[in-house]
Amino acid sequence: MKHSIQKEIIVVLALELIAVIAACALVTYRNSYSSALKSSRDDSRNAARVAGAIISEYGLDTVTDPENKELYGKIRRRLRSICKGFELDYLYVYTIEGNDECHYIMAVASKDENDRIAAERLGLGTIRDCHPLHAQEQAAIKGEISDELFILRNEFGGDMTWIVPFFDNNGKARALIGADDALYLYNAGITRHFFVALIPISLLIFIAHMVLFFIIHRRIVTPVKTIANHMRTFDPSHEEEPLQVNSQDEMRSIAEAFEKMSRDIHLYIENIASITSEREQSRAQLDVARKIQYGMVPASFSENRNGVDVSALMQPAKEVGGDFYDAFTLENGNYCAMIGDISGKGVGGALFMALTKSILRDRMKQIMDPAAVLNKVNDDLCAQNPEGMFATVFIVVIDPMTGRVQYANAGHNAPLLISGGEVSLLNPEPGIALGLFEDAGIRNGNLTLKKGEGFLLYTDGVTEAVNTEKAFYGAERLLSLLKNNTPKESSAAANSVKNSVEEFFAGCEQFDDITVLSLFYRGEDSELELKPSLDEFKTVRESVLELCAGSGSAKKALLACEEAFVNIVSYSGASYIKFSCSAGGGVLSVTLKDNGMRFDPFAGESSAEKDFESFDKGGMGISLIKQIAEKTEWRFENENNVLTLTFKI
Amino acid sequence: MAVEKITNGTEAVLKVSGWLDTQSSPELEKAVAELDGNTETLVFDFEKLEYISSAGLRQIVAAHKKMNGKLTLRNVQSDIMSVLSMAGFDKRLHIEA
Repeated sequence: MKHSIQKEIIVVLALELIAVIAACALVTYRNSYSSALKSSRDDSRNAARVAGAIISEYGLDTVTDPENKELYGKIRRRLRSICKGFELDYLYVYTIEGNDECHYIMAVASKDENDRIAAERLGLGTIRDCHPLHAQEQAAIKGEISDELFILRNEFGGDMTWIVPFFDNNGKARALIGADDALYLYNAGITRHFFVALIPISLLIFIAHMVLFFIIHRRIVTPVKTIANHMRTFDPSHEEEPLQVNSQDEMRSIAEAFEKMSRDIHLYIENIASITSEREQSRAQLDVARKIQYGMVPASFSENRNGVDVSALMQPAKEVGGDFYDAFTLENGNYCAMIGDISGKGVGGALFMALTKSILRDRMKQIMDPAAVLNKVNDDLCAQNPEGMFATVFIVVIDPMTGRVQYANAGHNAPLLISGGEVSLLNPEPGIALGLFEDAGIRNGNLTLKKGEGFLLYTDGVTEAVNTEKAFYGAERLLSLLKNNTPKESSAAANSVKNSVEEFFAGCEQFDDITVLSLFYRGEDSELELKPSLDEFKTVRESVLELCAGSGSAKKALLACEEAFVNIVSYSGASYIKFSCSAGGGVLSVTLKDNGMRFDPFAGESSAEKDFESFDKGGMGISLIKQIAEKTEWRFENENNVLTLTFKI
Repeated sequence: MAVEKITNGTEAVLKVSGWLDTQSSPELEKAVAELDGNTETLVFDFEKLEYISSAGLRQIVAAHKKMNGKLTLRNVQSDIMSVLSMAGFDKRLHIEA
């Protein structure tokens, strides 16, 4: 603290105390002075008058008669006793004659020494030059009295002289009577009067100031310090002790204000803490939801088989979004791909998405007809959709043997059709979003793809992406992107769209999930029917080597194919092996179908655990296939084992 | 596939070239079976081997057993080596790269 109010108050009070006492002293001094002057004047004049009365008893002429020495001595003694009685230094009688000459008649003094000298030097008949006469003397000559101060100073300290006229029986001023009051006595009178008056006043003022100081200290300084200490040690995480300010004044209201403030802060912080922990909790739950969602809808997906080449990419927005896609083979050998968008985001949207996606997949596997599935799922969702959420979905089903496509739309964006070297917007029946109204009446559309033709399905996250200039990406931009550089395979199509959209909105927030799914028809007419004989493997070898020409991993892929082929030949008892393979997008896909006994080569435990010494009896093949192939899939379909091996090349 | 045999005292070297697959592996089996009784150590020289399948791997294990472990693989190319590794042979056989 740079300044202390307490110190400042002490200094101000002290200065004020000094000033007040000084003022009192001044006033007192003036009082004392005038009172001492008055007392000196009155006493001295009274003494002079008494002396005059004594002389009048005898008459001035009798007293001044040199013959009456005895009387003179008697009067002189009486005057001296008056002089002593009034505590005067000197008392003397004289006349002014001629040219301001003082003709002394009699002079007495209180002190013996002075009296002796007075008798000698100022005895009857002594003449002194008194020029100029003092105002008192001039007045006295005229029988008047003057208040003009008449101070004689000498080596003894000086006297204050008071002169009164002496009147004879006729009332005529005949002589002057002087009374000398000793100055030191007069001064002592002032001093005594001064201190007697000043000390009690000063004490009173001093005490008043001390009382004032203690009141200020007790009522202001101490509570301020208490409150300041309390504020300094204020810890918002703890409940505050009540403030110990025992007054009912403004300090109490400051203390109460502080107590209220600290309670409020305490409550506020508790609120913040609980809100924060709730927020953390819900963020953690949201993270879990997001992980589950990503598990259901992976960020990227690619498959190349059964004459179909499929790729999907999803770039989720910050929140849990509502886009989804799915792609799988149906039991009748057809391939199904779908894309969808849920109204609303967050956990609710994610749950609805999970529900919708699961039901769609299940129904699709059962019913295998896209429009029928959408209608059925719509009824399911309408029956259990209290939040009124809805989903737009587009489903494509393709026959990998013929390229025939069935599609159905439930209110989703029209996909792009890449066909005959042209890119166009497919114009499906719009349908209606799932979950809104029963009896949606969605109908299938049909078309046939030639080899190398395909679709691009996308969600509105693509067309409604917004750039820094608040412009939409739009379907036109999407069309011209693919027209300028018409893709030949699914992964190129999906990637180019995703990259273009991301470039478009760079620097802005991504508001919605961006999902792209592309599907190309490759055809399955490379399927060759082989006899179950080791000799026939050369056909497989030639096809694979041709497709993988120049790839370093061709021989390994071939090794896996040989192991699979040899296993079928050796163990299945099949009467034919149907072989097909395709390559694209850095992926080789090989399918072997046989009508031998049902056997899932990947169901058993890994043979890598087998003993080295027993390897001459076989059993390494499946382990090698698993190690080499990127993906292995076996299914039993139409009484055929269908083994699909996918390799990176 | 072709197998060329070089005998060097009690050591026999079989130079295997081409594709050692299901169809060709019996030739190697035959060549190993025809080794004479004095042969104490066997070397498969794979310098010119282009391809090996599990049938070929089986012949290697059979030869390893027959020679009581005195089998060495020599000049193994990286493609072949990676197949041997996948099967775990690199841990059990004496292989000279």
